[in-house]
Amino acid sequence: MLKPPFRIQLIILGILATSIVFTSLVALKTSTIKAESERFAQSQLTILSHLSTSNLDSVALKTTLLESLINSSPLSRQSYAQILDSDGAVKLSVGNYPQVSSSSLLEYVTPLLDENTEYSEIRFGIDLTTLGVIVSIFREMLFYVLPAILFFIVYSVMLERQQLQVKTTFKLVNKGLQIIPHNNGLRARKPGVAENSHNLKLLILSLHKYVKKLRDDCAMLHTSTKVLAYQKTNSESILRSAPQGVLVLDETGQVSFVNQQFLRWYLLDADQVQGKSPGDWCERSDMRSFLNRYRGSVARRAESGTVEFDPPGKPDAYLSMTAYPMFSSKTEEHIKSTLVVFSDTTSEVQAEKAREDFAVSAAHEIKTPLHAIGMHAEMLLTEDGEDASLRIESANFINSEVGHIGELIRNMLSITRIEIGNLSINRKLTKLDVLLDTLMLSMETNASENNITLVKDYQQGMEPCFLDKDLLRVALNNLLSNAIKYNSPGGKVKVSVAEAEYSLTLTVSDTGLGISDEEKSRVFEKFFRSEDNRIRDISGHGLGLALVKEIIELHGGTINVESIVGKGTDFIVRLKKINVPLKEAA
Amino acid sequence: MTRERILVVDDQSHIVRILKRALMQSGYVVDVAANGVDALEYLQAATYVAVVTDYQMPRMDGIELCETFREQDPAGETLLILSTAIADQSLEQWANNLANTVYLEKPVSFERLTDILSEYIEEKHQAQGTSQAR
Repeated sequence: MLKPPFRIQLIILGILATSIVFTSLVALKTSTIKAESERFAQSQLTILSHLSTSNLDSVALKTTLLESLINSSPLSRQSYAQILDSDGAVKLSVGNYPQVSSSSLLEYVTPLLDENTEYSEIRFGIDLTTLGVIVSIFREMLFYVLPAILFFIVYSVMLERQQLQVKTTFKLVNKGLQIIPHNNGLRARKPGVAENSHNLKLLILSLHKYVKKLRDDCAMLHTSTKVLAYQKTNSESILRSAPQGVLVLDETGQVSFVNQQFLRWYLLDADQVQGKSPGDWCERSDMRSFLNRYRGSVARRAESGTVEFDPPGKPDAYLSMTAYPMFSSKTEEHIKSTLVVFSDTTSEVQAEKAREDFAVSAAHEIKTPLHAIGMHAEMLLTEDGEDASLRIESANFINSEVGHIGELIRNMLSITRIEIGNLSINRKLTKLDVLLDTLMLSMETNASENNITLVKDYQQGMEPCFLDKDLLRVALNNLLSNAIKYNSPGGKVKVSVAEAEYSLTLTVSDTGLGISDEEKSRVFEKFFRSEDNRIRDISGHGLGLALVKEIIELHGGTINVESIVGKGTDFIVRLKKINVPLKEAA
Repeated sequence: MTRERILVVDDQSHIVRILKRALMQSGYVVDVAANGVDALEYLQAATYVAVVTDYQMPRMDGIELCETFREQDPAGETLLILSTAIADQSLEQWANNLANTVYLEKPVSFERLTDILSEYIEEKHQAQGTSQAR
C-alpha cells in the first residue's frame, strides 16, 4: 500500500500534466479551426456570391442555404451567417451572432453578384472563444473518451475487487497465523493501517517459518513413506521366501498375494493366480470350497480351518491349509483380507500313521499269543486229566507265550521311550569285552540246548570307552538270541570286535537260514516278520531288531546286515570310540 | 453217523496243533494246511463242512483263500471261518458279502468255535432232512 502523501503528489502531478496537455490541445485546436474556417469561408462564400439573387428570393430558401452553410462550418455552434442590404442592415440572420464584441471573432463578407437586383452581401462569422473550442474538443473527443472512461471505470472496479481479494487473503493469512506457533504477538490484536508494513515483515517471517515446518513435515512424511515401503517390501520378501505356501485373499475372495512356494507346490504361474478367484485356477474341489469360504459375509470369514491333501507338485506329500482372518487396524469387526498358509505336514502325517501302525501291530502281536494261550487254557480246563503230555505241553506253551508277551511289552516300551525322547543315553566307562563275556555266558545254556557253538573273536582287556552299558546289553542280547534262534542245528554264532583309532566294529555272525535280499532292507522295521515259514515257525514279535537299531543310533552308530540265504547272516555294528566323557545333547 | 470233516489253515504250527486236538475231541475229522495254496489243494481233494483259517499267512492269505474257494463253491456248502488278530470293521463287511462266511476276532475260544460249527451243521442237516422229506 502507498502512503497518503505520495498519493497527493501523484494527483497534483497528474493535474499539472493534464493541464499542460489540455492547454496545448486547445491552442492547437484553435489554430486548426482558424485555418479550416478560412478555407471554408473562401470556398463557400465564393460559391454563394455567384448565385443569382433571383434564385434567393424565397426567404425559406435563403434560410436553408445559410443553415447548411453553418452546419458545414468547423465550429457550427459558434458560427453565424447573415444577408445584408446595401445599407448594411441585416435582412436575414441564421446562427448565434455574438451579442458582445469579441476579439476572437472571425468574419468573412462577400457581395451577392447579380446585376438585376440591388446590392446585398452575405456575411459569415465564427466566434473562436476558448470555451467554444473546449466544447468543440470535448464534443469531438466524446466519441473516443467515453469508451475510455467506461474502460477505466470497469478496470478500476476489477482492481478494487482484486484488492478486496488480497485484503481477504491477508485477513485469512492473519487468522491462519494464529494457529502457527510463534512468539511475535501477531494473533493478539488486529493490525492497524500504519502497522501493515511491519506486520507484513512479520507475516513473511511467519510464513517462512511455516513453510520451513511444512518442508520438515514433508521430509518426515517422505521418510515415513520410505520406511513403510521398506517394511512392506521386507514383509513381502519374508512371505516370498517362507518355507510355507502363502496366499492372501482380498475381501472379494480374489488372490492379492501369492508366494513362490505355493506356486511350486501347485505347478502354477503367478499370472494364473494373482488377481484371480480360486475358481479360475484351483482344480481341487475341496481346496476350492475351502478358499471360497473366505469371501462374502464377515461372520463366515472370521474363522480358520485346516484341510489336508497332497499337492500336484509334491506327490505323496500332505499339506495342511489354514486360513487366518486379517482385521483392519481400526476395528476387529471388519476383515480386510484372509491369510491362507499351506504347511508341509508330511512328517506329522507319517508319524501319526506310524503311531497308528505301531498300535495296530502291537495289538496284533499281543492278541496272537493271547489267542493261543486262551486255547491251551481252555484245553486244560476241559481235559479230563488223563493226558499228562497235553497238560505239560500246554503249560509249557502258556509259560513260553507269557514270557513272549512280557518281552514284547518291554521292547515296545523301550522303543516308545527312545522315540519320544524319554530315554536318553547314559554313557559310562564300559569294557566291551567284559560286557560281551557276560552276555555270551548267559546265552550258553540256550545255545547248547539248540546245539549252537558260541565263538569269541575279540581281544581280552580292551580299552574301556564311554557307552550306555544297559542299553547296549539289550541290543547285543537281541542280536545274540536272534543268532541262536534262527541258526541251523549244529550251527555257530561268532562275536568279533575290530578296534580302530576312533571306532569300534562289532559283528554278530550266524550260520543260520539267512535273509533274502528283498527282506534285508525291512528287517529293522517294527513288527516285520519274514515270509519264510521256517522263520515264522520260530517265536518272534518283530520288534527285536527295530529296538537294536534305535539303541545303536542313539549311540551315534550304525547297523547293517549282510546275509546269504542258507549260509548265514552278519549283523555289523559300528560305534564311535569315545575315551573321554561326553556331554550328550538334551 | 459220519463224522464231519474240517480243514484248519494256519502258518503257526502250535496253533494248528492245539486246534486240531480240540476239534478232534469235539468229534470232527481234522485236516491241516499251513497256507492258502495248500488249503485249496485239500479242498479240491475232499469235501469239508467248514474251513477254519487264519488271516495272515505266507503264499496265500485267508481272505484270498476264502474268495478263491467261494468262486469254486458258489452255493456256500462249506462254512468259512476267518480268524484274525486285526480288528477291522471292513473285514466284517467283507464276511457279510461272502456266502456262509464268518469273521472272528482273536482271541477266539474253542467254545465259540465249536458252537458256530455245531449250529451250522445242525442247520445244514435240517435243511437236508426237509428236502429229503419233500
